[in-house]
Amino acid sequence: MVGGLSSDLGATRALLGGAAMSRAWDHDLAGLFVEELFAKHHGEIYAYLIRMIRDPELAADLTQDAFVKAYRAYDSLEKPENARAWLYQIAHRVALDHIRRQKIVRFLPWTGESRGAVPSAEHLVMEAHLSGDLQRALERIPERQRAALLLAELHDLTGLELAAALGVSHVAARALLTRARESLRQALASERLAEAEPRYTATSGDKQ
Amino acid sequence: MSLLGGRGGRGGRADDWSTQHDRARARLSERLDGPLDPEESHWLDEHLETCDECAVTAVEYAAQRLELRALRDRMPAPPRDLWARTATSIEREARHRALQPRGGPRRSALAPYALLAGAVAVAVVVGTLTSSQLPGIATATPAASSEIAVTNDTAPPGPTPLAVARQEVEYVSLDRNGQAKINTTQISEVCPTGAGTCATTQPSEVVSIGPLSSPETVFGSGDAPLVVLGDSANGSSVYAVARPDKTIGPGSTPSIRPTPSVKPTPSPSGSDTSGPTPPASPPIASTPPASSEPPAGTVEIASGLDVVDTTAAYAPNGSAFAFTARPSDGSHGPDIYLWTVGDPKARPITTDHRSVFGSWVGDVIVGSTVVTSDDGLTSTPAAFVLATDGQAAVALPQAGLAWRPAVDPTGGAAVYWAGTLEPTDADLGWRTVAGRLVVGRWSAATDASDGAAATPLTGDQSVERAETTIAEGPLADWDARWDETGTRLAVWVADTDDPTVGTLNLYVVDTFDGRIDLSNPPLEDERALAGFSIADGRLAWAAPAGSSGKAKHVKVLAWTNEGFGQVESAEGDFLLVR
Repeated sequence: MVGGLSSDLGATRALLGGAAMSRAWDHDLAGLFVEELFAKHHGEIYAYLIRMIRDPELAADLTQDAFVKAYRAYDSLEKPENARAWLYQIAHRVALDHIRRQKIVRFLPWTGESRGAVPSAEHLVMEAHLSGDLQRALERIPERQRAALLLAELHDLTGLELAAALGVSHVAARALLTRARESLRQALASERLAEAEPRYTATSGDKQ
Repeated sequence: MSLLGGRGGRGGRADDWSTQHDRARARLSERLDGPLDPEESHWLDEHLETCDECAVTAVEYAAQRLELRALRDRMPAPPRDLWARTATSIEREARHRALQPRGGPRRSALAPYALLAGAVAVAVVVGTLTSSQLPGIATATPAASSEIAVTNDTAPPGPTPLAVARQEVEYVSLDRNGQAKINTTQISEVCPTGAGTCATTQPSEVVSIGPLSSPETVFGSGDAPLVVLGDSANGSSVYAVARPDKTIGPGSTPSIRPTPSVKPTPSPSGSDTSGPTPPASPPIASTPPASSEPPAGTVEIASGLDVVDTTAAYAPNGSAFAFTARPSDGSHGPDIYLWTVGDPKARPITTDHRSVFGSWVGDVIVGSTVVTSDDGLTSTPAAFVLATDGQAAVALPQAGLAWRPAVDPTGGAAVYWAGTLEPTDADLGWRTVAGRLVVGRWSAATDASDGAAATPLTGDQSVERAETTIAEGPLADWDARWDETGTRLAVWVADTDDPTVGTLNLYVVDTFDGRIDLSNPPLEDERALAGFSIADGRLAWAAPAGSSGKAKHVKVLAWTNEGFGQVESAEGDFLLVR
């Protein structure tokens, strides 16, 4: 599960379909390391980010961003065996930063004062990618909780790995997970209740 | 996000009830992740037997785990070109690194901090005013004004330098003939605060961009064209100057692009005792509008406009540049203008003729406009958000009284003028009257779970927004900018008598509670010219002539978790690129 640096670069390059071009970082340990990390983990990092952000294009951009940050921050990785959790930690920060930036956009449709009456692009994209009450419920819980749940249940991070990825203590990670499960349970119940009712409640503000 | 808040929850439970059930839920959750200790396990089993609701919760937790895990079968496939894109970015990064001589030991010494300090290091250029806007400031231009040396990593004679994450600072130097060059200097070590001066090095890159006439401020963003705001006979001129291919390496010959011939601006007769007067000094009238003789790769993206305020910026992704301007003919007041890289012209994206740019948050512009009371006596600001297509302006009811809000990159806090405004008669603009420059909470919501951010302010704004005063008004001008992490805030406040010079402070945001410590800034009341550049890990500004007994020079404050340190350049005539 955890990636070391048992590199077979030939195979890595073949997997990535990259031509054997000479690059500035071919002799750069950080570059080689990140290239291998990418080969092993980019799929799951992308999957994590798309579930956090809910926009395929943005998730791709942020995945790219996360690996570039990993390259920059290579020195901060003390043990190669922690690389996967470390990578998730970077991706998690990238996701949270993005979400915070977007919040200012996200509440726009609710004000009802839009002069141009154009829903934000992000909002439309979000809507397009909703599927199922589980997805909607996941969206309704706070993002740190959502992150904890996704990382634990979908990405198999446990204990200290989870704590490292979330950037919190072991105890705090466990508490976050507990809150997340309860939030999701309530959100799911509410989603399923809302399905049986006219859609004027939970997401009406989002639908305009 | 949900306006329902806790609708799914149960109201009005007694404390003991809730305590028991909270404990049960915590144990139920933990049991999913691993075995409980025997005592808790026993307690939980007993509780579940007596509590139907908790038993239901247990089933629901197990069920939702299964549902979540089922999502694994639907893992989305990443785009095929993702590696190509990522590799290109890393390649670019690696090239920058290759420019910087570095020793292995120094880097590893940085290791614990690299994730934070090195996370974002983007070339940003800082703009300052040339001496043409600074009458009375003696500018001693050294013979080679383009060779601004920033003290850094040759062997320091005295103090031990502080290693910092590699930083780039760019500035434009102007020679006597009005030829401009972009200088890039790499900073990897600084002198710890209070430790005196370390040695100096040369810029690692010097690239000629051809003649620039009367540039005032230069903005950059990565490889995007430089945006140069300058004076012309007919008001401000705004140019986009493409970056020539960079010539790499210290001491190498700058790559000179073929440029249209330009009449060298003669130095005025040297009544200035401190040295040759730089080229931008002559009266504006003697300089033809720069549009007539632009450097190669230069596009005039706005004309017939006066640029308003010092606040203008590239979007974080470098795709567009926003600024505030009004027609030079005085026909109406200011609007926000946007230039999308690659377009021939900037275009106004507000139409009320009373809007000014505040800041970018992601790809969204935050601006402010003026609301005048019914009796016409009081003008107060109101902030709004604008999609960059200019179609989706949305008032920010929670933003309240906020003029020129500079929102931090996380959208959680902003620096803005909270107070009243009055129209300037000649300028068709507004100036601050009674109030304060504050830093306040911007979007109260920190979790997506609540819709509080959309609620209009009802009570006392200064309380609801936890506003902290940075400066008491009225203010001639100011500029507040956050670094890319939103953890450092630089605020420049103009002097009242000469608004081209002011004082610069750097504040630190507590990453734990988001509070900003105004009492003990790492940079305090530093004399600085208008226009500075802050990126993650460093702040660069131009010190006016006369400070520290020197002519104009560039100073850089860089930091790591270990502390702060400064380097400074030789003296010379240049524009920091922001």
